[in-house]
Amino acid sequence: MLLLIAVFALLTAFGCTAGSLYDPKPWAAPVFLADETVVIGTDTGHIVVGNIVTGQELGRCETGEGRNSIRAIFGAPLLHDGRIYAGGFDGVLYAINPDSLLPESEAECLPFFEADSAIVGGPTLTPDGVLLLGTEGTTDTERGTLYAIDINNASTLWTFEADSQIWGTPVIGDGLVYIATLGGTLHAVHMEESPGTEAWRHQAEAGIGGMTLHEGVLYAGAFDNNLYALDAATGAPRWSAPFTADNWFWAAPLITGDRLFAPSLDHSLYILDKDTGAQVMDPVMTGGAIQSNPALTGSHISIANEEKETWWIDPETGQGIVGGKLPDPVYAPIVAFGESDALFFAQDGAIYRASPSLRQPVRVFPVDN
Amino acid sequence: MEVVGDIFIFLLLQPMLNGLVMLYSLLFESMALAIIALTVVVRVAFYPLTIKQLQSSAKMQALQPQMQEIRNRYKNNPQLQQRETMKMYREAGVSPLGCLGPMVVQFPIWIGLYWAIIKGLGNLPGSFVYLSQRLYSWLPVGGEVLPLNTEMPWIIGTLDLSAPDPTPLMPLLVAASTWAQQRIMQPPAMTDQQRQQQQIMLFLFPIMLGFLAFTFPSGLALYWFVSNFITIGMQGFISGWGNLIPGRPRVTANATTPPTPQLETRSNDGSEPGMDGEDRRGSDSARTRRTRTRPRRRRRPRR
Repeated sequence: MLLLIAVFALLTAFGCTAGSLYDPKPWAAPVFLADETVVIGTDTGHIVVGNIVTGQELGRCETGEGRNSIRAIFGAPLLHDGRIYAGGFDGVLYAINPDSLLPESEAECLPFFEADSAIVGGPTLTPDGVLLLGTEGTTDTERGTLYAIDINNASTLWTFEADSQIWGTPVIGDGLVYIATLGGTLHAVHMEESPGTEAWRHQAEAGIGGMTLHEGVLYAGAFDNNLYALDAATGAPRWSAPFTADNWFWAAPLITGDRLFAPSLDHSLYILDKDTGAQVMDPVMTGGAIQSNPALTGSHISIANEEKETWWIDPETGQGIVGGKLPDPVYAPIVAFGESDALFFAQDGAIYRASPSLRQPVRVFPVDN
Repeated sequence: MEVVGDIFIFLLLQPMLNGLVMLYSLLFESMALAIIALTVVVRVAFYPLTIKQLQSSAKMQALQPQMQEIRNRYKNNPQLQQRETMKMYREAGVSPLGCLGPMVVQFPIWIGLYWAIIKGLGNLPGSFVYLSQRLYSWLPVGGEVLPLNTEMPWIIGTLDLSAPDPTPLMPLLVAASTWAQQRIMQPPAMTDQQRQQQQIMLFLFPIMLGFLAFTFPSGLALYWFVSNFITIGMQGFISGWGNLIPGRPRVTANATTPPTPQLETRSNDGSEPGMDGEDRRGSDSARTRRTRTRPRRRRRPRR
């Protein structure tokens, strides 16, 4: 008994209580509202608008609590017609007028649509004004729902029930929307003819991470260590075999020219021929797992890893150089800024600006200070 | 500090986390069964150490009357009291730190187990990524078992082990098992003050852990309950069920209790024990107690 009490006391002393189980991390990519103004969804459930150059907060509002009393926004906000759309972990899609926000405010964000369960990915908008949004499903079913919502009146146009939780942002193609699930199913769902019905599905051996749609091919990385290339219209494999790494593919791959750059949790950035899936040069071996989506920043591809390193890779030569070190790892997708800079939303809740020439990343916006 | 953390993760947390996921995969993808099994496996693996610790504390408990006698006799001479106490330990073949060694060894293991359960229950993107990086790539199971199903059948239908139990049942189970564990491990009180302290402890810890079980993920509460259950079984095996089951006399580690040393009536400096009248009066009672504290005939341990 004494041992148990002592263990608990030690754990508490080190701040190792169960709070860490319910501790969300910054996950959403900053989105540009104007040249220097960004919108950020935070791990504390705030939607924050700020100036990335001056570091000044322009306004914020707060979302509600989801399961396990978690208040967070994991998906990147969407901007449309002067409004910010962001999905909360409380299962509510918010629509906010940025001009109505006040700095350091504790005002509640304006709800737009209520879904059945937590929203982890971000919303996507079709050219026809249909918002698409995935949920992780209720704890009873654990089957996520894809919602198609009329952006004008928040009415549900149709829904599609996935095989398991949806954590990603839906990707829109030609008449189809693609959603990836943690159960390993990639669903292609009709949006126009028979909307809400499944066009095709691809089953991976484990959950699917980031997806990239490029010239009619859907590239999807999975937790079974495979990177798949599928025909977006039919779901047929485009490569003779999926490309296999030593660990999961979590981030979405990036394509520039004929090359595909795929970061893996095995610490490597793989450089493949996008048509065949063959490696065209040696992978860039970094010192840590890569979770965040890479970004093309000027003439370099920028990545960050679990060891807080920033890397800058020349897409032509495949040569990578290590940049300055961040104070914390980055899970949120990296965002290009200016001609050659990148923005990193790190785990300490601040945004850092870095470039290949900059020795040390500069803390430009303390989102949650 | 970071190096210590890395060593802890590499040596303890990671093996246990992988063990948890492996057991989850083997045991019908049930997190509840995996937690129970991992707790049992760890406790069984450390069974020899636990037994040693329990035996050591049982020996110490058996020496309580003699220790009390020494305290009374030399209460005005702490140095002598200490010397006599150490002499008693030496003659009895007992080390006062004997129960600490196994405890210290088990300490990090318990922390590792605690963390493995915490990390295994995580079902947020961040915790999911953490899990992905800690799973051994050579394990036959990996990403395909994720996300781990943290539901288990419960009186309200299902219980999410990653969240606190919305019913009071799990906290009550934790509190009751903690009480039972306290009760069975409690040594006989020598004084009224000790008895009062024991009574407070008997209810304080169960209330505390019961309250924690209300706020912590129920997976952890399940682990506490199973762990208490195992400790009760081990303690019952070592020293009998006397404290727990009325009517069944407690067998105080007879199989392991060393022969009780004879106390000297004269201190090492040659003076009579105690320098005042009260102590002299006490010497008679000390002789009486000495008679009582002679080793009794050994009984076979109850099994």
